Amino acid sequence: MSLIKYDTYLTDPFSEMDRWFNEYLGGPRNRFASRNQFPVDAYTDDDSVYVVAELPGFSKKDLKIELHNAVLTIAATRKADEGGQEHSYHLSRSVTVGDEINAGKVKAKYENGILSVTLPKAEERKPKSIKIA
Amino acid sequence: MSTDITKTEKNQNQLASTRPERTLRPSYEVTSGDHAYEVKVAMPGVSKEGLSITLENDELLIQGTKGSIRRPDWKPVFQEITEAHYQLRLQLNVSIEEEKIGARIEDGLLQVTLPVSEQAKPKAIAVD
Repeated sequence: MSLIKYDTYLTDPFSEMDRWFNEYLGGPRNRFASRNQFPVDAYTDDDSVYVVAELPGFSKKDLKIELHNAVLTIAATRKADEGGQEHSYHLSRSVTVGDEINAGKVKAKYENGILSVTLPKAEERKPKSIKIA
Repeated sequence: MSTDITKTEKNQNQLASTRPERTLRPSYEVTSGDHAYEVKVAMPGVSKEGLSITLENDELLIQGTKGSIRRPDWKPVFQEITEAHYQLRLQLNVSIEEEKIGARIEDGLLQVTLPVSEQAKPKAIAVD
C-alpha cells in the first residue's frame, strides 16, 4: 500500500485520513489484534532514517519489509485460532522515508516485539561541512 | 499473602525507581480452559528482565519496563509509540494454585497460566 505518504505526521493534513482509512477499512479484526494498525515511530539523524514499529507476538518470518519508491512498507501476518478455526490477519503500514536512502544497506532487527529498521542515507545526500577557502 | 512469581525482588526495586508516573494499560486477552486461565498480554519492548508479576490476595499485578530503542541524538519525525511503562491489574475471582502459576514472555507477548485450584473446579454430581 503506497497510498499513505506523509512527511510528518503533524504537518500533513491527510495523515489522519490515511490512518482512518487504514484502521477502519483495513479488513477483519479479532479481539486481541483489535487494531489493524500498529504504532510506528520515525527518527532521523545525519546518517540514517530509523523506523520503529511495535509488533508484539510475531515471528520474524511473519514480517515483511519493502522499500519501494521512497516508501517503506511493513507488513505482518498473524494467525489466530478462533473457536477451532484458524484465521490470518494482515497488518500493514507505509511510511514515506524519502528517496535519499541507500536501499542496498537497509537493516532490520526484531527484538522483544519491536521491529526497528535502519535506512542509511546515500553518501551524496549526507550533510557536508564546507570549508571556506 | 503475597507471592512473587518471578522472584526478582531486585528487579522490582529497579522498576520502582525508574518507573515514570504515567503507566500504560496493555491490551490483553483472557481465555479459560478446563484447568487453567490463560492471560495473554501485549507488551512490546519488554524483556524477561524488565517484567514483574505479583499476586497479592486476589489481585494479579503485571508490570513491564519498556526499553527504549531511540538514541538521544535521533530527531523524531513522528512518534506514535507511547513511552510509558506497562501496568495491568487483574482481579481474580477464582481460587488459583499460586505455586503452579507459569509465565513466559516471547517477542513482546506475555503468556501467564493461572491453574484453577481443585476446590474451585466444577464438580459433576451424580444423581442417585
